[in-house]
Amino acid sequence: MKRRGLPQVHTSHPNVTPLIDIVMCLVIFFMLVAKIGVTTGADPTIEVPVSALSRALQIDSLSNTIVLNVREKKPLDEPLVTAIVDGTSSVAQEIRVVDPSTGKRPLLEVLKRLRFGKDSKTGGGGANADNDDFRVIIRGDKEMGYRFLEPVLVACAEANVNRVIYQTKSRNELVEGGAK
Amino acid sequence: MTPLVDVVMVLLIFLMMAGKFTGQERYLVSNLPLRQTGAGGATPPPGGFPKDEPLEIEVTSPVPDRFVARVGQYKAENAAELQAALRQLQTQLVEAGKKPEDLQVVIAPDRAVKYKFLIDVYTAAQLAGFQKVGFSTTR
Repeated sequence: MKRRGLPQVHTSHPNVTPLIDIVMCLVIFFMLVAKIGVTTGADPTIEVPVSALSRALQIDSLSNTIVLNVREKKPLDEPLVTAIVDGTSSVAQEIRVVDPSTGKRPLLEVLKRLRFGKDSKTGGGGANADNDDFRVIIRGDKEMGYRFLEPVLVACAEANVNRVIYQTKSRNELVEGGAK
Repeated sequence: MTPLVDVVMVLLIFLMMAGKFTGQERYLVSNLPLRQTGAGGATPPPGGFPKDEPLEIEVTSPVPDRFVARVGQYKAENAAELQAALRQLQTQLVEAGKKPEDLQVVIAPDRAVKYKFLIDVYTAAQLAGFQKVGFSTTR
């Protein structure tokens, strides 16, 4: 007569069910937390300044955001600006403020194109449509002088960028409120 | 059961290796005031240019690791002093009938002032209650 009930336990094989449970939890955790294949082009070697008012900002879409890494270009007395433009590369490329050989202003041209579309002019539709939500995140070296930041701000103003954001580190102990 | 464990372990290792686990990044969001005399001839905002002249903070750096800020009749050598001075100025302006949301501050730094001091000045202005703070690019 055949025996009924629970299957026979093979004590020689370990029970892997708890292991699978734990590993699946870990997999789900990493899938939720990890940022895979998303890069803003932020230069991790730049030491950003500290601010008591810094706050978290969700960068959910890079289509209307550019991160400009700004630092001193040694030994030249000019800013070194790097960024990822149009997502064509995963590595930040240098964008010169002024190209001395041609006299052109590549940074301004990039900002205008991102702000106003391919025609770099106000109005238009499709690829030439304006992007009013376009924002520039400046990741500046805290030790650089204002003379290196100023040309970048001038380019932002000339490209009519309304949203300029400064990347900082938080200093919670000095927060006392009073500002938004 | 073993192939399932293999696949899951491979997934786990991939996610651990490929993911970026940086801390949450922080930002200082600006609300730039615009000036008619500003650089570049930017087009005016939808509401037009503000009627009142912004409050200007002059920032200089006599030695590399210090800054001096001058606003109105006040002189400050650190962020706390500047914040106190700006609070007093804001109180005076509000008592004179200005609306707090219309008040603007423009930071006019010397070219040698370090960026970290500019962020200190910027933060002090916002902590003092000014909602519209920006940098001058006309000096």
